[in-house]
Amino acid sequence: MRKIQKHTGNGRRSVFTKIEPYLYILPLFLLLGTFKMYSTVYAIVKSFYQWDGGRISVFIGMQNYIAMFSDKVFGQSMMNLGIIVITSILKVVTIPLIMAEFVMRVKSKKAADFYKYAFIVPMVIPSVVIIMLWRWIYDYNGLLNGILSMIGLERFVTSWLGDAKTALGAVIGYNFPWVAGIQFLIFLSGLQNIPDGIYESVELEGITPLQRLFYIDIPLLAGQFRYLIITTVVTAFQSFEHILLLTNGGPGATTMVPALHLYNQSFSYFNMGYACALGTVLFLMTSFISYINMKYIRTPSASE
Amino acid sequence: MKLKSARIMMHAVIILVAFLTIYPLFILVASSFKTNIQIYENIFGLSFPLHFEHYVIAYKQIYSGLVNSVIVTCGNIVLTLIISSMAGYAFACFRFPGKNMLFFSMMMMMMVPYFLILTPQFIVSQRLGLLNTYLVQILPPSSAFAILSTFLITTHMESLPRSLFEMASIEGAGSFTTFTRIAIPLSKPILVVVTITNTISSWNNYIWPLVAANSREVRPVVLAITKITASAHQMPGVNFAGYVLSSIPLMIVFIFATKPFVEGMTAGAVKA
Repeated sequence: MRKIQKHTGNGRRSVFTKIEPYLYILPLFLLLGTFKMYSTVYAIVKSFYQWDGGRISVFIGMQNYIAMFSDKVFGQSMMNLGIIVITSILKVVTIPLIMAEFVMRVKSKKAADFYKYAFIVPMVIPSVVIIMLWRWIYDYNGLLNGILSMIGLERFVTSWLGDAKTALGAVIGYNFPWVAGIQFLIFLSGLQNIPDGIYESVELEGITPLQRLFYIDIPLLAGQFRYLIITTVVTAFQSFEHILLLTNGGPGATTMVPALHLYNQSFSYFNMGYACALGTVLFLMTSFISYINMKYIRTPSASE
Repeated sequence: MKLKSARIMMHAVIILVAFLTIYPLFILVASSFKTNIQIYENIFGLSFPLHFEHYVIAYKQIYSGLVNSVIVTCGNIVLTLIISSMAGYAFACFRFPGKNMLFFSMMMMMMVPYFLILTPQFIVSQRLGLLNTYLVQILPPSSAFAILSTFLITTHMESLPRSLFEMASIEGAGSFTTFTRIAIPLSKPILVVVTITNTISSWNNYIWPLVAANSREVRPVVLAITKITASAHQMPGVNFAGYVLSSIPLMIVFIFATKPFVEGMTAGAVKA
């Protein structure tokens, strides 16, 4: 948009007009610069140092990065991350989509609204509360074991988060049935945007719901899929809050993820140069994934 | 769907999944009224008598956390609204050198993993003397919230009719007047969405306050609820009461502003 220049004879006025937009973005970039941009550069620079967060700071070049290869915990954390990313994607593209489809087909508006509320309300609860709740559910004396005992499956009773065999599964299973989330809302709004005309024309020809799902809905939801997969992957790379509170990476390193490893290195071991190196590597990975997504996974353009 | 039985099955599945989703929350509330022994005896439902005193005990311990969260969230909302609406206005309505590069660099900041900058941000905050204050829970998080908010506002303002701005300019309105009298009032819907999104994010913020503002005076409620103590037979009931109490403010916002709440949660997704 071309800004209409005021015709003034005053030279000062036009200088002000030129710097005006910068004044508007100044507060934002002042904050961003101080806290985000400076911090990012700082962290990347420090990744080449051995640094304890305080005065001890020795330049050691690539040693932090080389050390990563022999860091067993890091290796385990990357494997866990891979598992978590794959299961997260599966969780996101299946159940929320199916539930959105079902809710779309519900004829009664009141019932549909009730279901929508049921799936949305849990999102209002602070995430820390949900985490603590599930920590109790998985507890030896918690809800899950209680249910198992009641239906006669006592032999499965265990400390779900404390048992090395089940800990990772428990972390993945957290917040079952995985519907309450924006994924459901996004699929729902995507489905609602599909013009009825499309359904009418194919239903005349007689197709099964499954065919409709695979040949029409999913292709038309490609944009939503792309967005959700990308954000799910990036979030999976970054989130460690729930793991921190559920298991803190344990037992051993069975539920360790890179982000938590970094956090521990920083705040428990004060190995901050190394932590910065870990963080830089993860940053490069997520940037790369986003780049791939932008370049190669194209949305087929719908007839909009 | 043609078959009646298929339709019934579909409803059954939805109801089952909805039940599974809500049941843990019901147990949370139900258990908040129970003593240790009551939970042991009946883990699945309500037990009588209801121990309302759990809520009193929990409230006393998290009261300051609630106040802190409210103060911090309000601060975040106000600050983010101001800086992102100003920046959005500039990006949407001006042409200036470096505009695209600045916008792009802002969006790039969204890619940076939170934990990478956690330590440096902590050090910057320490040097600025901000640790364990309200400001440290407002300034850095707002800079993060403002990115998405600016993006949303920019997109919205770009869709406003140019003729309005041109008319204002002809009438002699300066850019600031145009900003306050035209751009902002016409952006109310998106500003509401931005407010709600930031309310949720700010209230939920856990790791940063844990690292930078964990002192008893300023810690937000999400930290306070992890530190509730009570006698053995009152745990975990009192804990659960604390969790419920900390959820109430967001619930209230949700009930009064459901539509923007839902829009806020999906914000950014449709545009991506």
